Amino acid sequence: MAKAPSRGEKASEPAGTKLLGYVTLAVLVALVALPLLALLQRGARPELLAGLASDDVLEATVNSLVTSGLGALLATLFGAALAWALERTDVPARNFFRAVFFVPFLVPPFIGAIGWLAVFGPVGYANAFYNRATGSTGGLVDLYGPGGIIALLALHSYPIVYLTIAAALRGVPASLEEAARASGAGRLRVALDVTLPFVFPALVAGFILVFVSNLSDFGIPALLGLPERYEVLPTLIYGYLVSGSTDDPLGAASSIGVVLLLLAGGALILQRRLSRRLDSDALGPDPEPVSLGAARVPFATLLSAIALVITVAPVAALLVGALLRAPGVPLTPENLTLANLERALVAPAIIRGATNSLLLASGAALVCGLLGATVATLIVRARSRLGGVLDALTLGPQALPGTVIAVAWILAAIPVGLYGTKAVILFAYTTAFVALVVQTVRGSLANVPVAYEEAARLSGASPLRALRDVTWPLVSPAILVGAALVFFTAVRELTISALLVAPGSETLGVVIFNLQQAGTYNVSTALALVVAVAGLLGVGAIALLGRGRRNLWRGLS
Amino acid sequence: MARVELNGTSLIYGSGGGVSDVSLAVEDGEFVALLGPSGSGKSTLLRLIGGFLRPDAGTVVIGEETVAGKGRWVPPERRNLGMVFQQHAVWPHRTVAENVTYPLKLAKVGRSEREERVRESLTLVGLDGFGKRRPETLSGGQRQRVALARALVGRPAALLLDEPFASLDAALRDRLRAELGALAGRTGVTIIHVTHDRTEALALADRVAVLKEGRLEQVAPPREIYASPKTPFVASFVSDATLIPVETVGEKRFAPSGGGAAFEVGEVLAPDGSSREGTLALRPQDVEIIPGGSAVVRAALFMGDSCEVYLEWEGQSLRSRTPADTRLESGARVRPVFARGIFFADGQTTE
Repeated sequence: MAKAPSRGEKASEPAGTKLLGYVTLAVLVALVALPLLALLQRGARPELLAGLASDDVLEATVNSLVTSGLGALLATLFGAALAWALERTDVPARNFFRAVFFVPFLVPPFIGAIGWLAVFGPVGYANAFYNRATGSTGGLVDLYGPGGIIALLALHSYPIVYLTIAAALRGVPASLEEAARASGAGRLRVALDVTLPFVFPALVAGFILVFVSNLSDFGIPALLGLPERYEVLPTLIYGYLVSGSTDDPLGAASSIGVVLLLLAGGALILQRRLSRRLDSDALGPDPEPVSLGAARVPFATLLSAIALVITVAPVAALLVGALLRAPGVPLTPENLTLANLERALVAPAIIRGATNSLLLASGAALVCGLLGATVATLIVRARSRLGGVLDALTLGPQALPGTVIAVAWILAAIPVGLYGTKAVILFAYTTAFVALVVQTVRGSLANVPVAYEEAARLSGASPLRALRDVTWPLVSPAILVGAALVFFTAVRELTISALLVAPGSETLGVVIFNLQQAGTYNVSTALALVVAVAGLLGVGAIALLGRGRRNLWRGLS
Repeated sequence: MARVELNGTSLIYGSGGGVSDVSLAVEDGEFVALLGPSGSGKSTLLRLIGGFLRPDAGTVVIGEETVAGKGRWVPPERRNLGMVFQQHAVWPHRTVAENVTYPLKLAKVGRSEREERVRESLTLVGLDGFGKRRPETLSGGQRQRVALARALVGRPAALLLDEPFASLDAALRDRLRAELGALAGRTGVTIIHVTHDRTEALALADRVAVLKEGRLEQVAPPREIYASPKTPFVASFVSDATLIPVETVGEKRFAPSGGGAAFEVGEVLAPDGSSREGTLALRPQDVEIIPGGSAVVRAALFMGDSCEVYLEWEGQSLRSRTPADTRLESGARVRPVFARGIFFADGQTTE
C-alpha cells in the first residue's frame, strides 16, 4: 500500500490497471509490431529491393497507382456530390436515398465484381442485349481491364467518402454560414469561403482513405484484370505466392509488400499535412436546406435512376445468374432452376469454406471485441504515455493494405510453425480489424464522464471494479456493435485469406473466388447472392442495434 | 465524520498551474467553501483530498489517517469520502436505489440494513419513493439529489462538492443551495465545497477559503472575508472592488501612482500601514456619485434593487453601486465620493 509518490505521475495509476496496460501492450506488439518487423526484415533487403526494378513490378506499381488513384478520385467526386445533395438540399426522401446509396459498401467488392460481370461481362446481360439489338459482336462495355477496375473500385468506395463528407457538412456551424450571408455573401461565396474550408480536411481524408483501401483490394483487380493480364501489386503478390513463378516467391512478395507499405504510409502522411481540422465552438440550428424549386422532382428521379442501376442491377444479375440453368441461356421459365443454389449450399467444399469463415469471423469478433474494448479504455483513460503507444499500434494497421498484413503474417507464422493454419488467419484478422472495435468503443467512451468512474472509486470500488461496474456496462452496446462489424467484415473477406489459406483452411471468400476463376459461374453466382443478401441483412441488424443504443442512452449527459 | 487537513500540500502541473504549499484544516463538522476563479486550483485541491491526484509535497490527513504524503498513499476507494460532481455522475444504467446502494454493497453491508439506509438517505434529500426510477426519468435537480444521497449513504468522513450546482438553472440552484445549507446543519457532516460563485460561498460556508493561482489568499468566516479582505485580490474577487495603485499623501489622502490628482477617502481600513505605497481597494458600495465633475459615466445598469454605474475617472475604470432610482445617461459627468477604502501597503500583499 505504502508507495512513494512519483513525480512524473500526478494521478494515481494503480497496479491493477498498470498490469492490464502492460499485458495489452504485449499482445499488441505480438499481433502488430512483430509481423511488420518480420516483413521489413525480410522485404527490405538490398538484393530484393533491386529486384523491384523489374518490368513486372514497375508496371504493376503504375497500374496500382492509376487504378487506385483514379478510382479514389471518382469516388470522391461522386461521394461529395451525393453528400451535398442529401445533406444540403431539399430533395425528397433523403433518408431513403441515404440507405440505398450505402448498399454498395455493404456488398464485398469481389461479390460486386461477380455481379457486375454478369451485367457487363463479355456475355453479360447488358452486352448480350446490345449485341442482339445492334448486331455487333463487341458488346457495349468491356468490364475487363483498367477501366472496369477503376469504375468498380469507385463504386464500392464512394460511401466512405460520402460518410466522411456528410459528417463534415453537418459539423459546419450553421451560424458561421449565416454570419457570412448576413455580411453580404451570396450562396456560392459562402460555400467557397466558409463551407469549403471546413469540409476540405474531410475531402482529403476521404480521398486518401479510399486510395489506401483501393491499393489493397485484391478481388476486383483479380477478377477484372487477370483475364487481360493486367496486374496490380496485390495480384502480383498473389501470383508469386500461388504460382511460385520466381525462385524466391516469399522474398519477392515481401519486398512488394514493403512498396505497398510505403505507398500507403506516404498517402497518410500527405493527408496529415493537408488536413488541419478547423474547430469552432459556434453553435446553432441546422442550416436551411437549399431549395431545388422546380428541379426537385427531376433531381429525385435522376437519383433514383442512379440508385437503381448501382444497387439493383448487380444484385438482380446475381439473382438471375443463380437461377439460370446455364450461363447465357435465355431467361425463360423452363431455364430456371434452384439447382445452383442447392449446389451452392450443400457442396462439401463450400460448406467447409462457410464453416471456416463463420468460425474465423466469430473468433475475430470475440478477440477484437475483448482486445479492442480494453485498448479503447486504456487509450481514453490512461494518464500515461502508454495510451499513445496503444493508439498507434491499433489504429496503424487500419491504414495498412490487407495484402501487407497477410504477407507479414506469412513471414511471422513460418518460424513458429503456424503457417497454413486457421490460427494465422485469425491473427491476421485481429491485426486488421481490431481498430473497428477500438474506434466504436472510443467514441462511446468519450461520452462517459470520468466522474462516473470517480464516483464509483469514492464509493469504494477499485479501478478495475469501477471499469467493470460502471464504464464497461455503459459502453457494452458499442463493444457489441464493433464486434459485429468485425464479424461481418471478416466473414466475407477475401484479400487476406486469399494469401493465407492452405488446403483445409479455405474461407468462403476464397471458395467463391476459386469457383469463379474455374469458370463455375452458376455456383459462384449463387453463392455470391447468398453472401450479398446475408451481408445486407447482417449490417442492417447492426444499424438497428446502433440506433437502439442511441435510444437507450438518449437524454443522458 | 472527521477533520480534513492539508499540510503544505503542493502539486504543480507540467503545464504550470496546480496548487502550492496549501495548509488548511477543516474541522469536524465544518462547512468550508473553496472559492476562486477558474484555474485558481480549487478543484485540484478537492481532487487531492479525494485521491484522484497525488501531491508532489506535503500531506493530506483525513481523521487520524495520513492518506497522502511521503511514503503514504491511500487510494480513493479507501478514503471513506462522498463526492458530488458538477455533472452529477449518476450512473444511467442503474436505478436510483441501485445508484445509492452501491457504496454500501462494496462495503459489504447486509441487505436489510442496506435497504433501510438507502431509504433513509433518499428521504434526507427529498426523494422518498424514487428508488425504482431510472435516472433518465429524473430532472437535473433530482439527479443531483440522487448524487448527494449516494455520497452520504456510506456515512463518509467528509463530503466533497465540486461545483454541484453549476449546471443547474438559477431558480433551482437557489433552492438546492438552501436545502444543502439545511442538510449540512442536520447531518453535521464535514463539507468541502468548491465553487467560483462567491454568493454561494458566502451564503453556505462556515469559513471561506479564497484561492488565487494555487495559493490560499485568505481563510475566514464569510462576514470577515466580506468586511475585511486581507488582500487586494480578495477585495476585488469577493466584492468587485476597483484596485488603484496609490501613494499615501496625508491622512485619508491618496495620490494615484500613475499620476493624477490626489483624492480623499472618508474612512480608511488599513490591514497594514507599514508603507506609504500600496493598493487602494474601492468597493462599489463605498463609492457614491454626485452630479458634475471630471468622471464620465460609461454605462449605468439597473439591477433591480440597485444600479451599477461604470465610470471613467482619472484614467481609471471605477464601479459604483447607487440606489435603484438613479437615472444616469452614458456620457453624463459626475464626481465620485469615496466613503470608505481599504489600503494594502506594498510588501505585505501578494499583489
